[in-house]
Amino acid sequence: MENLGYLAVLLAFLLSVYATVAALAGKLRHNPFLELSAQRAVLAAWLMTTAASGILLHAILSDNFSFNYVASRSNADLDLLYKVAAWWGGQEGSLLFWSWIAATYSFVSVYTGRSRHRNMISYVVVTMAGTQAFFLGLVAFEANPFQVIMSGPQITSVPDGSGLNPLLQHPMMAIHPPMLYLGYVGFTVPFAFALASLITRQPGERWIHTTRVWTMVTWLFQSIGILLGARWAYVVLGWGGYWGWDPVENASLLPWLTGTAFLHSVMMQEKKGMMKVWNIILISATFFLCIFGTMMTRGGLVSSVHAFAQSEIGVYFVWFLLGGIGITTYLIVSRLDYLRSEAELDSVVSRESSFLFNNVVLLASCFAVLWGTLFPVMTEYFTGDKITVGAPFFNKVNVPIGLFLLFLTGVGPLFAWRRTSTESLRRNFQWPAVAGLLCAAVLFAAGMRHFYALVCFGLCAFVSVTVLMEFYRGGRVIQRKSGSSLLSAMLELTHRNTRRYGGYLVHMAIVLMFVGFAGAAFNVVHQEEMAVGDTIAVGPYEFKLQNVSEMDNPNYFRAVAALDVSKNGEFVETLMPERRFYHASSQPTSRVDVRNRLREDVYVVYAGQSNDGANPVIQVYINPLVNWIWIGALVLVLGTLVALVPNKRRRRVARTAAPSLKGEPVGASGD
Amino acid sequence: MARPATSLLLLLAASVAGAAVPYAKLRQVADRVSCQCGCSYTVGSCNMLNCHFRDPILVEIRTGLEAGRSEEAVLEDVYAKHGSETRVQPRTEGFGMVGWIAPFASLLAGLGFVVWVMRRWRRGTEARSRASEVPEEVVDRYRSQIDEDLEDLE
Repeated sequence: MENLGYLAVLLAFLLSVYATVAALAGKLRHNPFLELSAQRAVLAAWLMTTAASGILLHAILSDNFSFNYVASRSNADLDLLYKVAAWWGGQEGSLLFWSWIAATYSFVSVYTGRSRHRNMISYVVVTMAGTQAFFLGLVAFEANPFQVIMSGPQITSVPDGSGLNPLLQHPMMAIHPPMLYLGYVGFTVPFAFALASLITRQPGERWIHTTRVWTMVTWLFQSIGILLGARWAYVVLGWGGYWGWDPVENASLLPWLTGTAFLHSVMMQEKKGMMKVWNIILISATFFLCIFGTMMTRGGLVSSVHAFAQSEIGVYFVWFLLGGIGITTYLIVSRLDYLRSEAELDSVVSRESSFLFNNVVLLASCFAVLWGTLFPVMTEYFTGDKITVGAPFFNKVNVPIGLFLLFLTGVGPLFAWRRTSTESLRRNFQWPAVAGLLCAAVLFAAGMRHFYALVCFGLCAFVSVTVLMEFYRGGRVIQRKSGSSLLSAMLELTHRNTRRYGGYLVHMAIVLMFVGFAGAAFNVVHQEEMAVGDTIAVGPYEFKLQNVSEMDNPNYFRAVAALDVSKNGEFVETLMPERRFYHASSQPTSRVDVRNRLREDVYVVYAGQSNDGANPVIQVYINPLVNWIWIGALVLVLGTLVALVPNKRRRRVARTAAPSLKGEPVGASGD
Repeated sequence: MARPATSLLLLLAASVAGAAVPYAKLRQVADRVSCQCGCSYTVGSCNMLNCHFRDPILVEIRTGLEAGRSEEAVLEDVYAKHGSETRVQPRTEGFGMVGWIAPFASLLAGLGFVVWVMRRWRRGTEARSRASEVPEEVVDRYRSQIDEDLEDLE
């Protein structure tokens, strides 16, 4: 089996290399047979990658401990879900998983786009198969998951594996990496189409229309991946937070920020033919940041709590990045004439300018995160000092930038395309501004003195009213025409322009998340050694340790503390945090217990044991508003899904009449 | 695994903060020291069992605070004793200042660039507008109508 698996990887690698070369040669030599064979090689490479992945998965599920990878990442008593997760739980398997997703994306995008984009599909194949070949090359020559355990000349097997990293044995961790990978790899598709369009100087914006759904779906995967990772950190790592600004967390955020900027600025190109260079740069940056993120996770550039599978493969990524960035830069510079803007800005006070500012702030945030992540490396290089850059730095830098971005989220929809009149500005800003100021004033009067929290809540009210007004105004127009209820009119409105109103729902999701982020300003934490029967008070809550029980199963041993929680003297719930000790890997982990409420979370951790080993040490966190982050995540998914639904109907004829030189319309056609 | 419970208890042994310094205060200071056990978190957030790095530093911080020393003085001692890598943010002097300034400088440079681009575009629009044979008010009227239609078409 191991030979078959490795053979499949080798063949997939060779087929990907062939697809890259044949597509390029076919295009340059005008040989359609070569081009067609390149497309078929993409399909064959996908089949081979699927076969290799199937063999590895079969080895994991059947506890074939003669495979080195299976013996080091799985064990016989591991739950089925985590056995599947072991596929991407280590370096070799995760690179194969990356390659399989890349091969799947290549196959689907090439076979769905080859008829519509006959002129440029070969260049799409070059980029996608080339990227795929790079990862398959790593699997074949640097991180082979089909290595077997040898005893002299004989293949041998160990009785049981050492198990999956305990931190990864959580349902969310089974979903989070695939989502993130679907996001990372998925940005290859719009990037490949953008480059192909650039190389072939395609007229119009066809690549954008073609890749719009790909980009949004990919962005959605990336968002879900990031948010699942945050949720996993919250419930598994046991330090009371959801985002530690760890390098690997940052690596996932970087392409998300540039991808978000791209999703906004690409509208300028679609509607006005503007910002073409900028959009090519943005989608290229997003793709290369995805590769950079993978390098950070896998290549050992920086140390991280999430770097479950590091090795010395980083140097290959550096060469890939340098080569890719060099080629892309050359293509952009050599085709600047093709990328010339078709329109120019009419007014500074316009939707266009708000998109520009939004892009700058998103990129500044991206730069700040990248800068902080790499600053320790730079400091060591320039001064020889080793430093760490952690949450205090990132919070100080990113909080003001994030609040500015939140402000722009509200301002953007209030501006019209091209130009906004003073009267329109006054009308549009009036109520959102009143709501924002009123919210901040009420909270200040209620005793809130945290500056950033006040600003954040005020801006959240401002943006919320902006979004609600958009739905209300549009809904009212339809309601007047159709006589339906306001709610059904707003649903009709959303269905008529799903992209726009789905986008507003995503804006609302961002507001909800910021409410959750602002709550962190009021977190309370307490730690105490507790004997059975002891009671501690934290905020309005009291915690009484009822008992500590111990249980054992084939996978892990666990100690569970039962804490009765009461609020203002009334019993509310029993929380049961636990510590686990995994037999196979000899590693301990914590399982927090959380009482989730919209107002606040009560988050309890079995943090350790007293020095004499007699009593547990319990940590209690009161985390206000944190649940709004997860609610925001659901709204974000909903909003993106709405934006992906096709519009209900499209008007084919505009009411605009052709202008006459005398100032009278020549004729008006309506619908 | 002969006695999992015993093993767990041994593994779980961790230091507990004394009563004199509230835990919240201890945590606040410890969150400004980077743990070097490999967890990538701060000393305050590290939840590694029996962490060889966290536990002695928590004792140092607690002792310093109990002795009435300021947070900054306690932290400077920790940084001096355990190395600059225990800092969680760049210094506000020397090369460290570059770390603080660069993100905001990039934001300002980006905003400046946008203003420059917009001015350039505006000049082009105004020049074309002056050269047009169609009166400006007519163009404006139709632009407004186009905008309204575009809003409907979106």
